[in-house]
Amino acid sequence: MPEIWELGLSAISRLIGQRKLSPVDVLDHYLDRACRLNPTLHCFNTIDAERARIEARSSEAEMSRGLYKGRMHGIPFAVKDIIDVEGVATTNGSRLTINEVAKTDSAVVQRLRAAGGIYMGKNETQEFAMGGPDFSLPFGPARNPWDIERFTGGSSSGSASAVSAGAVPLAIGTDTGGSIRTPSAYCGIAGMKPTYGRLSRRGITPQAFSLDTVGPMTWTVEDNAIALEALAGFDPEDPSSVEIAPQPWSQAPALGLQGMKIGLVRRFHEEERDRFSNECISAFETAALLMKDAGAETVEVRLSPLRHYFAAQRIIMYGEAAAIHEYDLRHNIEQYGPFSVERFLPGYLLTAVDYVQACRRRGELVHELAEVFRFVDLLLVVGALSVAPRMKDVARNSLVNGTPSANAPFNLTGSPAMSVSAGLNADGFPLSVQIVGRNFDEFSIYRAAHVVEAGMGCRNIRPHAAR
Amino acid sequence: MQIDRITSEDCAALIERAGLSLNQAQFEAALRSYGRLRELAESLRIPRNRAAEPAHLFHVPASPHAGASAFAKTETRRETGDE
Repeated sequence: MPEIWELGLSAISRLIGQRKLSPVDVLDHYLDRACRLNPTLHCFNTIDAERARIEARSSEAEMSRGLYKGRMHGIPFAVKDIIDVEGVATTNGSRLTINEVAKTDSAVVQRLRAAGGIYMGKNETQEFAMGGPDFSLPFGPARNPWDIERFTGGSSSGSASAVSAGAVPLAIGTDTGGSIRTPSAYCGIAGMKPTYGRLSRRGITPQAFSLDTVGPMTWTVEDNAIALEALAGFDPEDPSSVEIAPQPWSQAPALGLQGMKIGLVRRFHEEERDRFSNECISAFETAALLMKDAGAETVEVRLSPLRHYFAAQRIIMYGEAAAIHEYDLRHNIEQYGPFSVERFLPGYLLTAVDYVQACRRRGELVHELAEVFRFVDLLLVVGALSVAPRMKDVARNSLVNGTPSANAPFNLTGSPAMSVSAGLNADGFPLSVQIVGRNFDEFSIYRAAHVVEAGMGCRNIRPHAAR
Repeated sequence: MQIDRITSEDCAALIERAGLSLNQAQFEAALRSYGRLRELAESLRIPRNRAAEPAHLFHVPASPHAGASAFAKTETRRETGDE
């Protein structure tokens, strides 16, 4: 008989709905795991056991009265510590804001609570979603449950670590240049960056206004789709929010890929051949075969070079982030960790013309991708560059000097993109691929992601630290 | 100033213009990142028509009805001397 955490969100949700599992028992199980694993993994900044237990008992009472709110009812969740929860400090992983207590819930927390979700705690984040694995800061860095000497990826580091270790079934991350997808790839979980505007960012500390996206991180694709159904919705208080109907995402995994056309974006990794590991490219090719076997047609797609997308995303990100932090970097720079300072600095070396040229290039690349999506339904793109590197090898200047990320292009274009587990390498570390859809078509992504995940057959293997 | 390099003096001028006060390690980090940053920024300069401005547009919000405008009310008050 599997333990509760091994069931995952989808099965737990079903059993709660059938009244075979109690929300209180589920919460107690996860709280026990979170408290036991956190001293090793540093994946939580806060665990709010007392409040969570009150909410779990309330959920149980609601269900006893016949009030069942749906698939998220009674499911514990955690949020990256740049996301506001009423009465809890949004530390942003920084000394600067360590005592800034949020007055209200962020929109995503409001929505999850309205759907019956139970807030359990705050996940560690790289400082202001920009820093790195910085040992000089009050929290973290989060450790990768597959090997605690390895990097989780950032900046939704604690969210990925906690989900991968089975310390929480759902964590909310944010993604400005890959901050949901890279940690998901390194920690072997499913991470969705929805279309820009699909989820409200109200109550979330910004990193770069025109790129920031918030999304769910879970163990499986099906879990992820259930969470997105609760999270999505128009918010007039977020100027980027788009009023568009949700899709029945949780039904997508059952549909397969018959009749769909998948564009294979080999150019990104072929032009950076020496920088992407062979095993990551093999994972890409295996995923392509799995999609074809599932009935999809695959075609080669040629986009502009990855470096072009990357350059525009980085210049916009640096410029916007520098504007957001200008006051504090002028007056309180000593409060920031060394990773963050080094990563914010490029924004102050740019010119206004650089920023405008990046915006012009963005428009051209958005148009290019829209043209491609006239002919294909989805894109398959390589995931992370390699398996998780050792933490000591992560350079402070890796955001500007590092290899172009294959995640960044889809923040630039606003496209929905998901990192999905593509098995393990020979040493037992997670591999991943990225699936990208038309704007607001997360549904098709979930169809394809489930095919890859099921075909790779790796969801029964959990990291060592989870045991 | 060359595109791919920057002197310490020029970098210091940029940092001062930004209003930042950096310690030596931070300043050297800025200096180190400059070359790659310029490389990224220059890669955005592709041949394009002067009028090509597909992304950086200003979207004018719909104006409220004149009667509902705070500005219009202020003018009215001034005209009537009702301040």
